[in-house]
Amino acid sequence: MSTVHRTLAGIQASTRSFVREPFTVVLLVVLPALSIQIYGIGMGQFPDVGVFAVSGSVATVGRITGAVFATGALAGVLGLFQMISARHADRRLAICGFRGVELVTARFATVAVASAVVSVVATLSLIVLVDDPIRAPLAAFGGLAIAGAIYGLLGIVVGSVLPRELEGSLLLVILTDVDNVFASGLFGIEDSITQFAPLAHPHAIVTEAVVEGALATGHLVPALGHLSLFALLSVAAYTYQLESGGDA
Amino acid sequence: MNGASKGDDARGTADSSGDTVVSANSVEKTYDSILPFTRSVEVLDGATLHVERGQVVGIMGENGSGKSTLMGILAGVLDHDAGEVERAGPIGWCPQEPRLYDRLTVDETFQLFGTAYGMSDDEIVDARAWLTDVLDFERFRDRQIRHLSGGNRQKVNLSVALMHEPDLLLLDEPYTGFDWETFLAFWDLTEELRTRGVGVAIISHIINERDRFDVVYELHEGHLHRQEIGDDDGLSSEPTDDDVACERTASFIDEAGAGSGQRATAGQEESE
Repeated sequence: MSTVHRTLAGIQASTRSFVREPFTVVLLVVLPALSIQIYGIGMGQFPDVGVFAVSGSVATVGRITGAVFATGALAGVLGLFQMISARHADRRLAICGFRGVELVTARFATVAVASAVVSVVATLSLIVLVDDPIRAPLAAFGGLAIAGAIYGLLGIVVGSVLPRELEGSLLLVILTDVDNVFASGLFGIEDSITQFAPLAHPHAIVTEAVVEGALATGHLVPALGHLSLFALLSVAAYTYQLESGGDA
Repeated sequence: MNGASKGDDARGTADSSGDTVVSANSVEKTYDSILPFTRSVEVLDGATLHVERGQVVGIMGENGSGKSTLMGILAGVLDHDAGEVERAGPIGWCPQEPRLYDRLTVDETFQLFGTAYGMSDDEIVDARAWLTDVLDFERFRDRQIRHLSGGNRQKVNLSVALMHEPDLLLLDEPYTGFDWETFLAFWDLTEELRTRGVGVAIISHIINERDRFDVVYELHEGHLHRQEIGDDDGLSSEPTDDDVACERTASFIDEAGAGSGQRATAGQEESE
């Protein structure tokens, strides 16, 4: 039995588990639009003069911030629940013959697919809800996809070391919120601080795509750097929990 | 320091030429706590156990005595601190709590775990047909695991451990939730496996089923006490390998024998 065959079987099983939860799918469709509108309307209440340090209209930047928040939080929580729901069964599958690398690949591929789906939904919601047409929708999707992937991986880390639904979800949502505030640039916080926020660069990519219609190439490399860092962290965390018998 | 362990997955890698399918010698296990104001718990202290081919071994003990920990160590799921565990040939592990994917159907579960065991599609289909027939859950094959009753979930749990026809079966309270017919079918199946030369270790609370076992081990205060089941049910309370007398086991089994018939409902045993 080849590694590819086993890995594909693992991905197929994880993906089936993901789409068979109708409530999750409904939230996936509704929450990004809701978050974008709430942020847009909320921020739109402030005048465009000097309150916030933004390059576009406050309402537009609010909607972008809502999209980044929804993408990060949803992908993170999906990653967390992927881990919690499968951790014991993954361990049994390993005992039955799956290699660690096959399980890691299957689990990460599923989180990547889930993050991509969230990003597509958030991008479409943003296209529909933002006032002016988005001139670089692919770049906007790219920024959101990176944000989703980073938080999907963070969900794996949290699910491995804190495998509790309530505490893990709260931690992820609060982290996303704080990170997003730093990343939004709304409050003119020093770049030397905000550059370390995982969502800072993806947020800048989305903002540039929506407001300027361009790809913020200067933010692409640091964003991918964050993604790589979280990929390493999540592989380490997942491997640890797999080897500890799923009882970490 | 982890104790030595050989053959750490269900396919087994140790030498299978002998009659012993699993042996544990002087195994120690302590659950350490890194948190303040909590204490470490010593679970196993020199536990020794052997299972031969075609032997059905019962493991008993009070709640919290460490039976599931011992089973986890024998299966290679848990590390041990000291001692040696050796396995020969493929193993099948049926944990107390089914470790299955809730949103997969029964058929998909067979397919996934069969793939893990390295079985071909035809072998998986054959194994599924055999086990769904013997344990009588053929009609639930398209149901998701989360929508099954506890008893049917346990049947799938047991089937996953059995489907690759292992040399050693490690069963942690396998009949929890079974109805009477399934309970009897389980023992028929165990008898069939015994004749095929499969070694079976079962954690059980149903002491009046002791005649079905060749050997009973009682786990008490970290030690395993071995009792041969003879024709006359004359159970010894003599010290065993670890020199700890086992009066408790003998009296426990005698009492249960006297009260035979009062504990026969398989599905209502208390879980550890």
